[in-house]
Amino acid sequence: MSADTAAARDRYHEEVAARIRVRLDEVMREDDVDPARRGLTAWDWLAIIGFFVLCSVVAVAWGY
Amino acid sequence: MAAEELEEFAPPSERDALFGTLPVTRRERVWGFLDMTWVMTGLAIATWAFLIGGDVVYFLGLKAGIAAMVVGNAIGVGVVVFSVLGNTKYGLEHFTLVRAAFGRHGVKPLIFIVNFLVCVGWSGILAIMFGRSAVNIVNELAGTKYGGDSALVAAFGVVSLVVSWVVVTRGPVALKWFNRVAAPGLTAVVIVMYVYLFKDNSWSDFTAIEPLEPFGDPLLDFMMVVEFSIAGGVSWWPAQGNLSRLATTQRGAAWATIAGLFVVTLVAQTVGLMAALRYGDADPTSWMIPLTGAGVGILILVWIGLANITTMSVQAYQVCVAMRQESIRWLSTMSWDLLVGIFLGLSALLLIKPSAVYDNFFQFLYWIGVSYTPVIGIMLADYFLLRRQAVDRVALFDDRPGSPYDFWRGWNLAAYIALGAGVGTYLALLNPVSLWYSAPFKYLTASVPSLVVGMVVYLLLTKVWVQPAGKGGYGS
Repeated sequence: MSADTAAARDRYHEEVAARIRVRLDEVMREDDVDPARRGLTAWDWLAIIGFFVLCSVVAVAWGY
Repeated sequence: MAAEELEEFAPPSERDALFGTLPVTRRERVWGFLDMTWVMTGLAIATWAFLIGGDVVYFLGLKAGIAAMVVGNAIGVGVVVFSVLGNTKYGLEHFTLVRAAFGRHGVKPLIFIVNFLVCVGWSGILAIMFGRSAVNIVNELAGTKYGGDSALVAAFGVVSLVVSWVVVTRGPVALKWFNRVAAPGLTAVVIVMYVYLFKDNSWSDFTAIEPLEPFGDPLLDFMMVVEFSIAGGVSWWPAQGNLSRLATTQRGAAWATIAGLFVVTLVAQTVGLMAALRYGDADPTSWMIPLTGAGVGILILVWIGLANITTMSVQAYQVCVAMRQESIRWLSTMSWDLLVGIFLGLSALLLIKPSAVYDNFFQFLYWIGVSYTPVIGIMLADYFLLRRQAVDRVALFDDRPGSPYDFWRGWNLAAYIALGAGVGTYLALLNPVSLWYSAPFKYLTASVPSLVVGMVVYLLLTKVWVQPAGKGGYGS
């Protein structure tokens, strides 16, 4: 691989690193309210685990 | 250059989110519950679902087979749903978050060895499926009787890999458009299969058919299917981490994943099992013409072949982009065409004897279980129990020695010891090659203990060794 290509790759990595910094600054601002940061509630956990357990128990009782 | 190809492959926001290591921002999260459900459904309705459903026929009949698939998928998809919540919360690329547990260099073997080999295996299997689809068409049209291991299967398999290479290196835009019709087409295939299966057969006809090669111990046969169904679920782990970061909420991502990868997957796997029982053959490419007749059957086989090329191309693209971004210089400077060629070329090795892997597909799934379940256990322990769902995003991208996730020169030895313990536990319960099993396997599976051991060992080592040593940023 030529030195030019290696240099281009270095520039590409530097560009990516700069874009990461910009994005981190944006997502870590105090006024950046993102609904995705809200974790599952206890009811969510219960509903999801309960759904899987219920499906498994019904399936085994029916099919095994 | 990868950057230009990324530009062609997807719009900027999707490009960064799907194929880059950049954290996504709030405005780039585009998938609400319904959007994400559609994406997950597209993944679930894929040819691999027919393969997994078909392989159940070796061990179980219809009712027990469905029950085992439900249990296995519930466990496999369940742990995946929880283990990628952090990717949704922080918008992080999958293996970027894994750095928090394995270290900035420690994550690399997971990318360059584990994930790479798993994807090579998947591509090889899909190439064989393409080859067998093509050979079935040739046999039907020319009246020939080429077998599943014939050179023609390998030749067509190589053709599919070459076409995938051309698509990935030259024409990703065409692939993007094909992606939009592949999933609806395969949904139609599933519906057509159900219609034809029930045209001449009743439910009780199917339940009366015996499995092909059971061990004879009902609990053992059941657990064998549960085990590879778990592996089928956890095989989504890396892809799911990347996709779920585009979700607008963690709740929406979780339920959409359950709807697609659990519910819809079971529908597709069940039609595979029914067809395999009907024709006494686990290979999906052998069902279509006898089931639907030559005309429709050939159309379905052509569609399966094209869908496989799509999957191989997307997989090759994502794996190769990820490898170039992980700052290993000789990979970064390798030509894009050569890198993709090496990935797909390695997949071609599986074409030397197609039946060796393809006809023992469930054993390939067991290897995925060996590889992924302890890692998922480690990630669950690290993210939920040790870090309480809070990671240092800046530190994840900090490559300097001494940074919080640097551990020991970039490697978290505790994670690798826990991984070794998890893998050892799996192999002590089930040998993926010989199918030797120890007594507890029938009651515990191999994946679940492997995950739990990985989790517990990681927790203990972190508490008694990593945290006291001031490594890992746990105190910050």
